[in-house]
Amino acid sequence: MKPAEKTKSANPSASPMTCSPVRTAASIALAIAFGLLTVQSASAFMSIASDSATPNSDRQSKSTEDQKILHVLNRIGYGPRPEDVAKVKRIGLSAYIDDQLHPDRITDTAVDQKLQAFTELQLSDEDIAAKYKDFITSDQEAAKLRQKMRKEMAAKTGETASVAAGGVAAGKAGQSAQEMMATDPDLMKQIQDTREHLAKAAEPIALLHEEFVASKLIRAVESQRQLQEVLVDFWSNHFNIDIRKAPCGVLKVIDERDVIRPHIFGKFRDLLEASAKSPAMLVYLDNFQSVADQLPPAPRTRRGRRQVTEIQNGSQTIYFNPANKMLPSTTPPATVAPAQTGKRKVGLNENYAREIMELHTLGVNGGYTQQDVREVARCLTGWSIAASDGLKPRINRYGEAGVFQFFPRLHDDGEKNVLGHRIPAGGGEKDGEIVLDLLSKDPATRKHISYQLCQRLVSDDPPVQLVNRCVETWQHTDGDLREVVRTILTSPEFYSADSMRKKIKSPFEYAVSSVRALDGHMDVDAMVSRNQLPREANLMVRPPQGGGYMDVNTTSLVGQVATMGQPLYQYQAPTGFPEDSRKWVSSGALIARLNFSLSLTQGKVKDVLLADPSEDAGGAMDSRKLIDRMSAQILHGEVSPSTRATLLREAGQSDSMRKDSALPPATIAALLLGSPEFQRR
Amino acid sequence: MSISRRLFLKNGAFALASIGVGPMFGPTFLRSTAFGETTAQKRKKTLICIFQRGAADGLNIVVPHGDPNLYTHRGGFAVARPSKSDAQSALDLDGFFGLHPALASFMPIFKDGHLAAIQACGSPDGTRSHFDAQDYMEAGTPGDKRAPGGWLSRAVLACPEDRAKLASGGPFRAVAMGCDNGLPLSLQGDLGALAIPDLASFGIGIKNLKGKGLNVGGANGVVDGFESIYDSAVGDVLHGPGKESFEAIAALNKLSPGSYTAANGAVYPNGRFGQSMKQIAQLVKADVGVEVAFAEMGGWDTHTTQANRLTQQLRDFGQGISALYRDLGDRMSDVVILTMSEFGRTVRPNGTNGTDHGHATCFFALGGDVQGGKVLGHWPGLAPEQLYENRDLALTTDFRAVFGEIAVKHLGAQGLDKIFPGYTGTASDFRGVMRSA
Repeated sequence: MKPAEKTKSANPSASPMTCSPVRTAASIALAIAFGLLTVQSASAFMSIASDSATPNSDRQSKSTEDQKILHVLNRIGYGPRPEDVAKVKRIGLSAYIDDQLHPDRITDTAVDQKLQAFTELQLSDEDIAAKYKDFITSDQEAAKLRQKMRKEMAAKTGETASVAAGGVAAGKAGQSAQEMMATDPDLMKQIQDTREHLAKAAEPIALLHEEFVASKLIRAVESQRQLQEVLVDFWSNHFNIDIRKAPCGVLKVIDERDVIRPHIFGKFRDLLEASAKSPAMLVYLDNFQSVADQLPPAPRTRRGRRQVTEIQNGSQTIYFNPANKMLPSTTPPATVAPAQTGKRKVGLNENYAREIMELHTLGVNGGYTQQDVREVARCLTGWSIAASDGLKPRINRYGEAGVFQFFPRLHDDGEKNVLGHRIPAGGGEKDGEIVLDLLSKDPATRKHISYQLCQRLVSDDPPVQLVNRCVETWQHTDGDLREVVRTILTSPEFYSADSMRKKIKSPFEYAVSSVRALDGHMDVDAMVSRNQLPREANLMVRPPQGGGYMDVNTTSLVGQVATMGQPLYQYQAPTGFPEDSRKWVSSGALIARLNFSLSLTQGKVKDVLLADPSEDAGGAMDSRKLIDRMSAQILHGEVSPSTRATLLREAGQSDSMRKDSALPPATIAALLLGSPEFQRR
Repeated sequence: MSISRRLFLKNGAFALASIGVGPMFGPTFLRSTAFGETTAQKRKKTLICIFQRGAADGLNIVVPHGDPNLYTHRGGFAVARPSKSDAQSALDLDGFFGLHPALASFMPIFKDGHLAAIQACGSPDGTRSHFDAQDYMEAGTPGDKRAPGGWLSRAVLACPEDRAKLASGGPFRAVAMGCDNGLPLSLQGDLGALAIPDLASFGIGIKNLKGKGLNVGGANGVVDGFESIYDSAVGDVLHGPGKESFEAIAALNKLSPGSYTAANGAVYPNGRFGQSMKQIAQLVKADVGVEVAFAEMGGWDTHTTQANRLTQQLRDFGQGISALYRDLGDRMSDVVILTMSEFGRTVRPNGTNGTDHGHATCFFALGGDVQGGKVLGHWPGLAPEQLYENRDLALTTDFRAVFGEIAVKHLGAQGLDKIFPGYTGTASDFRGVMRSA
């Protein structure tokens, strides 16, 4: 075995693109096998290995400093890469943490370069909105055609009501549609053309989605600014948005880029306001539609009709006419035909008001009442989205991204009382600002969010005194999130034995830390494949509702993460994925993880690049040595005696069956990544 | 340790190998044939729970069309009174209540007397937080978050027979099928339940290109290795799930879940919920000892454009459950299907053609021993002074009375207070969901 100088290429930030994209499964298996061997055999790596981690005999003498470094890399980042422990040692732990708290001080050239390939992500909000305008046009075309067909069918079958209402008698209607198409070639062609236009127009949306997800994975796997990525993930999950609710697939991109990312080290108040004005949040929790219960009549248009705004939500159209308010109490039941429900009253929607208190700020026991929910909803009426004409709160599936705008006409301008605080009438947009002030200043908010941050970074049941110290920091820094995180990372509780290796990794953390442990990188070309766009576009246009996931292609890392139970940006309830890591423990979930470790090590995850196979493995190494070295790389000496014994036993069994065949490195890697130890961080 | 473990695995596999081959799974259970055939011998009872997450609007599901106040509050937003000429109107159940038309698939089961609805039911705790309310209902302890584990886990362990065989129950005794967050709270606890995202791919290995079957190509020994690692990780929180997983995998290897055909012409709707229903049927019919199964369906949080969304939801919900009912055929004499939701929705529509978070809602129970063909519970009325906090349907049946009755009369559990810590209700609170034995 030659100790190759090549192992310098183990520094990923210097030359990440030098990994050759190996395609066939067999060669990837080899790549891993030899790649691991090579990295391990390299002199540079061995020097790290000998003082930081491994051969098992060194375990006992391992310094607490190493344990601390590992702990930090596991908590403020997505786990160590092979060279990371040594790197942190060089810099010094507290300097490393301080740098991580100031990501702008850290150069991240390799990631920056990779992200440059993602042109859609760099568009401005307005450009994104404009670019997707095509889709609206096509979508409207399709809607018109559907309407035309419905009318014709209704004329033929007399089934107007059921078809228009979404069709309880869909079977029969579907049948007559088939018949119509069969007898009318022009119509047939029109339908086909419309479908094609629609799919074509949706492609940029699919591309945007792919770039968006790819950039998250690239940053998590490769960025030097690991804490930043962990916190973006935390806050993005705290202000959860499900991209399957149209048009959040587009809007969430803007939300993460302009709302979450710039504010994670700023004041909480600013983050909260950015989120409250985020078009994605306004759509996801319905506030864009919430208007005063008592609205003055709308001005008449020139044609004498009252202005009606259409709101598209999924496949439904809401006729949004402030003047045409139906008062249910005066409507005699017998005369109300179902068809009349198309034109409906407008008014308050409590959804966002409740969740901003329950989830985003105060917490469920934060001392608010149902009355407060209503009052907050009233304060936030008129906080909506402007379409490109700048006037109407309108939303049209994936097309019209839109920007935040306050609409005074839709606002409830009466007096309110929120959490015992009187808000006088006539405040307009200020009402909402006051609510954000009240909520960010409330002691319950400080406590609730400090607790959650400690849950993410320290333990599932965070020590009370640590949470209290975060609350104090919050108080005297006016909610400076950088300082709150610093309080956590410099606390004795953070480094206590009670918190080390005590969190179960989420599927995302597990996948990313596995790739990092194998010194892997992401293959940009495989992640954003324009060939697949038509299929992806279909998903984006009609995202699976109520359960199904997008991104379930298991040959991609994001698909694997979804299969393990964490489909990114697709958590239906506003809670987001659980911070309590015990929720990730279940038998089914565990099996999915073991399958991931196999897929990854056998080269079945096609957008992950593992180390170069061309290097000389230097001949066979006996199983015991191999196991110890790989344990060092993957578990950093934290391998439990029982896991090690099992590995040796498995290897022994192989040895005894065929003397010259040791346990393949890919298998050892799979077993280590699948071990209970590696499920923890 | 290792030896007894191997033995146990062998026994587990042996039990499964009996499917289609011959007799015997468990001491009380003797069957001479497999799959779908009826038998007079006493079978283990099964309870299938379905959680409608997001708070289903009970008033537009089991519609109190005989209460004029419904239309005063809801106008055209309510489902119209039953009318032969209107396909969108309610399907009459008893002259006062009617089913949402998208639940037409429930009608024959109701008429056969095997489906009951329980109206104005839910949690006595007043929270309107989805997440708290779901936790309370699943824990079986309204207002108390300290309860360890879920009611379903405790219900099974409250059956004397199960307590005795705690250490040796089969891996499929309690199963969560296709649930978003792995194991739902209902099944957490001492019972040790199995969370299966998808039966067809439950196993270790890499799916071949056509997605059929699993193989461990190039990774010989790795499955044994995993099993051994988790087996020896005693004391680790992952030890239990690991153990359950490997037992189940060994068992499932005998099942070939990919090639399943539903019986009695049952057709499951596409989508995850339909798939969960189908795979539960498959497990139940395989006689692997399923005592409790749990599935869930999201999407009930209809704050906006409720009419169309609810229609779509209910169609999938109704068709999925009816398909399960048909598919299980005569086995339904030993099975109860119970649906639940964390709370109901406001009596008056909100400003966006939807409804906000409310209070009481309705549940369904289906089964051979269910006292069906009725809408059970007490109707509290919808006059303004009868509403809960002047906005929601008031509650007249504590969900624990329904869960408890089924646990006691169907599963054979003993001690309501063991299943629902702190609950003071008794059998006199039962609503007559189950026929008396």
